[in-house]
Amino acid sequence: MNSSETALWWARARALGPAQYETGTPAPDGFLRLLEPDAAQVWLLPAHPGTAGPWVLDELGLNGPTVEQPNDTARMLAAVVRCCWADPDDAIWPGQDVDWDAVMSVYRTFGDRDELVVHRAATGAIRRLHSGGWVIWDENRRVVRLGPRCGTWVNADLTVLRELWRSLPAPDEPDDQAPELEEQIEDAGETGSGSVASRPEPDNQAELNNNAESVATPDTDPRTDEPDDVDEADTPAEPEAENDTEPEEPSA
Amino acid sequence: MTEMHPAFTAAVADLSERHRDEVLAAYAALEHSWQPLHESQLLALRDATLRRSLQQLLHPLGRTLVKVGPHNWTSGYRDDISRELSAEMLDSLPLVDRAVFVLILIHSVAIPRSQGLVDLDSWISNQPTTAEELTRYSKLPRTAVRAGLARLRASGLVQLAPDRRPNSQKAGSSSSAGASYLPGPQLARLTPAARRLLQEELILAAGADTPLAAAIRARRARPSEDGIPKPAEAHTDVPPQPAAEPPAATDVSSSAASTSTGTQPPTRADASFASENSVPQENS
Repeated sequence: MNSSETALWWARARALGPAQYETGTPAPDGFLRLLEPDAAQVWLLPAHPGTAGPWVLDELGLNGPTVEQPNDTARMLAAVVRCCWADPDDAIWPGQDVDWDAVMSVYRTFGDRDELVVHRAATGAIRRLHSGGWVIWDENRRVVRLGPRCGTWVNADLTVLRELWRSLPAPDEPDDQAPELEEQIEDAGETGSGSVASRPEPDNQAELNNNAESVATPDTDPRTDEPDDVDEADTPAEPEAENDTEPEEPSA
Repeated sequence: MTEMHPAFTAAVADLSERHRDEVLAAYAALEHSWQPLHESQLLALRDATLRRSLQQLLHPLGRTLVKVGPHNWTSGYRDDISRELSAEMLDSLPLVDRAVFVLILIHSVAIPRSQGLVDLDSWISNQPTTAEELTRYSKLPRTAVRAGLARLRASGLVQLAPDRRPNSQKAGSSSSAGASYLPGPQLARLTPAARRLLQEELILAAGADTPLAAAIRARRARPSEDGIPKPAEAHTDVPPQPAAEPPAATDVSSSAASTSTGTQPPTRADASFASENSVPQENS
């Protein structure tokens, strides 16, 4: 691949964000290849050296793109990582497909809010994450999996993330949910982390909610720790937008 | 991420370790920061030698240094690269977004510029366009405009204007009626050639019958005088192309779709706007 082709690849990656190609596509130097589970497609993402990535912004005290509703977005990412990263001792990519309700069961534990509010916040967050390549959300099948950007997290970051993973509640669902959903979630759980044993008992639920705040705090970290490096930076068409002013728009 | 692109090592190979870190940090800061950076913030921007290394680092990655004002810097797509990219990704930004974006450029930059309120060679402006104007002139459903604005803001092509108007609306509810918008920080990433191209496209679209537009068409018809001036540092290993093809105008960098942005909007969107708006004649 000659130099102008390589330059075009880098520019394209910047303009498009993570993009999928046929498996045989030759990638330019310095690109990460993340193979899809079916091995037919591959994600190509530019890999920045450790001292030249987006995370440098933090060290320099500079602002990257702002994410709309950063807290809800971070919580959702935490919930998806908790559910889709089946075994934290294993590689994070590609992770497993998880039912939306399972993700919501984790997300709900992060705050004691009105169901309607939670639902709206969660939908907004998952859309933002999806458009930025952090998660892949199949809206029709209501299935979520980790996005290619999560596959760029390096080992040092994953170590931190593992701790957080363990501190988050396993996917579960409230008792009042339909029984078949419960089965689905158990199915999802048995492949990986969310073992049935670790599911909180009904009476623990209240306690869990009380803990929500404390759980919610660490969950901001997954974003600030790992994603951040990747996060702020490449975010192409992503969740960034002015935060403070944001309410003005959607409201009307 | 063990293997590093050779560009990262080649450009800084001759530097001391400290300078190497400075250049790499400056690269990351330029590429990912939301706003242009003042040179006092980074040694690699202040020091001419290091700046050259930085440029050498950006070049093989399809990027180039862009100077914004006397002391600020950012990075943008190389002109040759942005031409190719915009040809490749013409549809990367939805039509509605392009329409809204052009309206904001017309109201916040083109019209104020013709009144002498905005610098001639800049797409950054402090003249807000209100959401109400956008809905009125675009003749699009309010929801479509709002969705487009959200995407444009996310990509940094548009930003919310700080609400400092002393008018009465402010006192009212903080609904979107009072919201107004400015061109976003990504427009600072346009190279001089891209800025000029965007300006020309806007003139062609909004004032197609003006002598200025005729002059632009005439110049573009002569392939020998490629309408795109070569920026000082960017090399051109691509032979000069007649600029008649859809220009790469906005290499509105980091944002996803942005590449083709500047190009498209003028073509489609304006035609209809031109008639409704007080035609923004960027005076010559």
